[in-house]
Amino acid sequence: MDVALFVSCLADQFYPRSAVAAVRVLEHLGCRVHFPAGQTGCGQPMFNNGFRRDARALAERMIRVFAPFERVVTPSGSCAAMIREHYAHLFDGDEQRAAHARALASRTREFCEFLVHDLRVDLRALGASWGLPDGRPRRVTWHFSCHLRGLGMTDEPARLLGQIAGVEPVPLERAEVCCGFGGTFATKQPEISGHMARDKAACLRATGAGVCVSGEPGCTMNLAGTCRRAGDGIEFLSPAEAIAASLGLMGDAPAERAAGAREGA
Amino acid sequence: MTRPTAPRSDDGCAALLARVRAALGRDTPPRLPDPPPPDDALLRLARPGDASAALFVERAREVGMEAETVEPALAAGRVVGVLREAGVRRVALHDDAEDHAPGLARELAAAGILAVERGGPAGPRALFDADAGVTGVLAGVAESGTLVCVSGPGLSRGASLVPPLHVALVRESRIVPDLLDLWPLVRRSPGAAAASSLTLITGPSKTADIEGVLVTGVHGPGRVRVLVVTGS
Amino acid sequence: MKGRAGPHPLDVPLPHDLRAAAGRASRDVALQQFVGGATLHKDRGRRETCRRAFGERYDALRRHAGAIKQHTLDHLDAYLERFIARARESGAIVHAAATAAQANEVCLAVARRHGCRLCVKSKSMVTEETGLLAALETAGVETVETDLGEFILQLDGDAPSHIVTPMIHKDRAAVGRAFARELGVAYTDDPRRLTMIAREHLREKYRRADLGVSGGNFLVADTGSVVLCTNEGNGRFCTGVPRVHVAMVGIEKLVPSMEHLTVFLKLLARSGTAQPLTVYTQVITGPRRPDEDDGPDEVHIILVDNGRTGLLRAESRELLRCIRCGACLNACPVYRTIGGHAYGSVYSGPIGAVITPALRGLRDFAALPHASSLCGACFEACPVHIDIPRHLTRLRAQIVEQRIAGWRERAGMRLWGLALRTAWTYRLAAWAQRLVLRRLARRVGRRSRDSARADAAHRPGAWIHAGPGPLRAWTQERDFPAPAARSFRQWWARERGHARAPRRDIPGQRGTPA
Repeated sequence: MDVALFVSCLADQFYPRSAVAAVRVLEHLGCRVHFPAGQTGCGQPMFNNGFRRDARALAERMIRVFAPFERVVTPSGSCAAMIREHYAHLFDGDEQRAAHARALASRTREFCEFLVHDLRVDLRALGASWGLPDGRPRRVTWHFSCHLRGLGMTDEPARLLGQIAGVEPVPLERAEVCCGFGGTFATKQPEISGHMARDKAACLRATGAGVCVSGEPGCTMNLAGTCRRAGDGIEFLSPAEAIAASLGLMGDAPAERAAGAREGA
Repeated sequence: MTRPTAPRSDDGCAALLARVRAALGRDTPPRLPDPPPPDDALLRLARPGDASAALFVERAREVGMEAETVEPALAAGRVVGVLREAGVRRVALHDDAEDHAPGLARELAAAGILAVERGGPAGPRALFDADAGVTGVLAGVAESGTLVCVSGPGLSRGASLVPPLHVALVRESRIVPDLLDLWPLVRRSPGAAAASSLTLITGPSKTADIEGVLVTGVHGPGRVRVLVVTGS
Repeated sequence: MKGRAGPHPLDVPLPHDLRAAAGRASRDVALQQFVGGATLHKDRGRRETCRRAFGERYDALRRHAGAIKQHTLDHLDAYLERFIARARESGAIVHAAATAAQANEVCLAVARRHGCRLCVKSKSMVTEETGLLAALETAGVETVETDLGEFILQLDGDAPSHIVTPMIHKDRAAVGRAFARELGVAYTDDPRRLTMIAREHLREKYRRADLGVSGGNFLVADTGSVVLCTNEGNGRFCTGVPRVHVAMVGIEKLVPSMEHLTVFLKLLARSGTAQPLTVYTQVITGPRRPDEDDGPDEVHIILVDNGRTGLLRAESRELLRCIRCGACLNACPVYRTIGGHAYGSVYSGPIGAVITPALRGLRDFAALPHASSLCGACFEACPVHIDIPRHLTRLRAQIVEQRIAGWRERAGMRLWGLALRTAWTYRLAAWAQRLVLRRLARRVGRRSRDSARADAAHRPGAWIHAGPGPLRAWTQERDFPAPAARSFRQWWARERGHARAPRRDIPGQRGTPA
């Protein structure tokens, strides 16, 4: 299947490894991955802050750049939600553009959603395995980012994790509560945002897991920064990275060893 | 019947309607609207077969009322027994209590329990001196354990509100399964549809305003004793 | 004037500085404990109770209830006309007030005409909105709040902080002190004992009151009835014992019929307080009949507009579906962190954030629509399916259009948008950002508190502990990551730009290359 990858600006700049992992996983699962070079951003921050004209301009660009592709897959749930929930409304009153927006929306998938519902992947059958180097199971928890709600997703990332041998999924307390990122909310109301993030970090700490799988670069930035400020050692990986590691697609020994060392300590 | 009240030119209603019409983008008067009917399949929590005294008693207990069944002939005696246990000296009595529990007036007199004076110059204030209220009810809703009381001649609002104990007599035949089934019954009952006050009672008065600690008997009765009169 | 000295908590200077209020609130440990604990518990309770009752039907039921309310609003003129006619037929006297001042004035006129000296009042958000209590007291009518929470708040000169559980922010010791001070009783902090003290005090008021004031949870068009849903029974006292009853109700509370009322009765208490029904649901249709033993001689219904017809316009009409259940407050992590007073207005939480700007001015309350991470928990909780996040972003757009947003933010967003207009401007901006932030990380990153193990685990690399300018707000609360040495685009260009490119370094793998 031909798939066009949309990589959010945050992932491109701050978490490129997560996008590389997505490419590797999709190719391994038999997809031909395209990366339209003309892509820039989905316009979410503009839209969320009320700059609709600017958001519209970016949406038009996105629709053009991704028009030739049958499937658009993005590891960022919030970008997928922007396209699926909001793009058509940006063109209220312009039926032609609204139709193009709806068409793009119908072809857009979040990464885990794509694996579970489109590819119907069975990682166990593919031999996915991600236990610790010393043979013990790896305790992994996962972060439910708010945008999954708008996409109609529930536990797709958890389901995928459950298909990986050697992984011990640990549920997160108060998983449904927002981590406090909210885009510019984090800088407009930092006291509230920081409080919410610290609440979430405390729940993460309580799981005793060494890894938190988080599919949303913004949430990851927020939570990783909060955990680091608190001196917590939990590691954040995207679902793509976790899956890629379990399929041996990343080949990055040093980081693996470091993660293993902390768990064993 | 009450006298209907007439509109006054300065009561603001015409101006309000004009503003509403403007906001709705209409300048002509509206047609009679056709609302979406309440969806029984989505709402219903109990079916006709569930209209049982047993379910009603169970749910009434769950919401904190004391509930039991009693045969018609024994109802009056049971009421008096409940009142004596609670040390009641004066009772606010609804006119329909006797219908639910034949012989009640006689048994109360025999037990030395006085019915407080209704109406008169003291009016509803007299109810403040009662230790208990004894009333019949219009109906019961099995699914939620709810009592349905209507106001009317000889059926004061206060008897089920002011005294700290409310003894309610419910006829088994008047228990409907679900709240959805209540309104047809209300419409069928003379006087009920036009009652000035219809009250659904689902438990004793309660609050958790202070630190979430549950306290009963805040303003209304702290104890509600329900007697379901079977086979009636 | 009762209560402790100090300004009324909702009497905030305008424009409302939410950030300052939020900062204070989020450091208030006691507030966190009460509000945080209680709301989480109630939100869980809502989900549990609704799941138990409705199972898979819950979401469909919320949409159904929302559709009924929407229909009613779409035909509000017809339903209002019917309600007014039926209410008059039942003997009630109906008034309509365009503004808060008018609503209060109607009530005062009724009190004056009947020579009322003592008023007992049951909880009503609309009367908070209009400030009725202060108006009555100024006019010389002693007015007592009878809902236990409101009674305590009145005694203590405090204000409600939650639509349904108004004193969620207060502890038992504070109540004990207020009672000892204002009622002259011996200090106790036992909730049961305190409640009984209030009960006795209020009974005396009920006996003597000549005016009862209430709000209304619903208005039923077909019958002209006012519906009150309470747990304590004070509503029944206020509407049943005094000679005159005044019900002040927002025009949006209309439902078509008693059958439709059932839809909302099944959702209201489950959504707000995790109980199937409130203890008392009272349907009031006109004054007492001539042959009844008790009940008011006169019932006045004041239909309140006060900005609601403004909200009735198409873009915001949905907001009037609100049945004031409080579910969105309980679900909201922002409300949970800052409590109700921080919103600076009578209506707080998610619904407050979207209706307060409409009712009191967007310019004065421009911070409210931004006090949200758009997580959507409120939308999931709302029994009438109001898409609150959509309205938050709509108001944010209005803030930009009306140039309430500061020039710095406008400039910043415009610049960001321009950078994303073409691939090469994106790459240029990304390069500049990478340069600046990685330099910053080298400079300030090392000075941060370090945990060698944490460092080894985190990717992409260095962290900024304290940043200038736009980074300051972020780094006040948490660290900010430096961008990776090479972006994904760069990796793709190298790895996939040519066919069969060998696998090389994956960007960000080894920490911070220079």
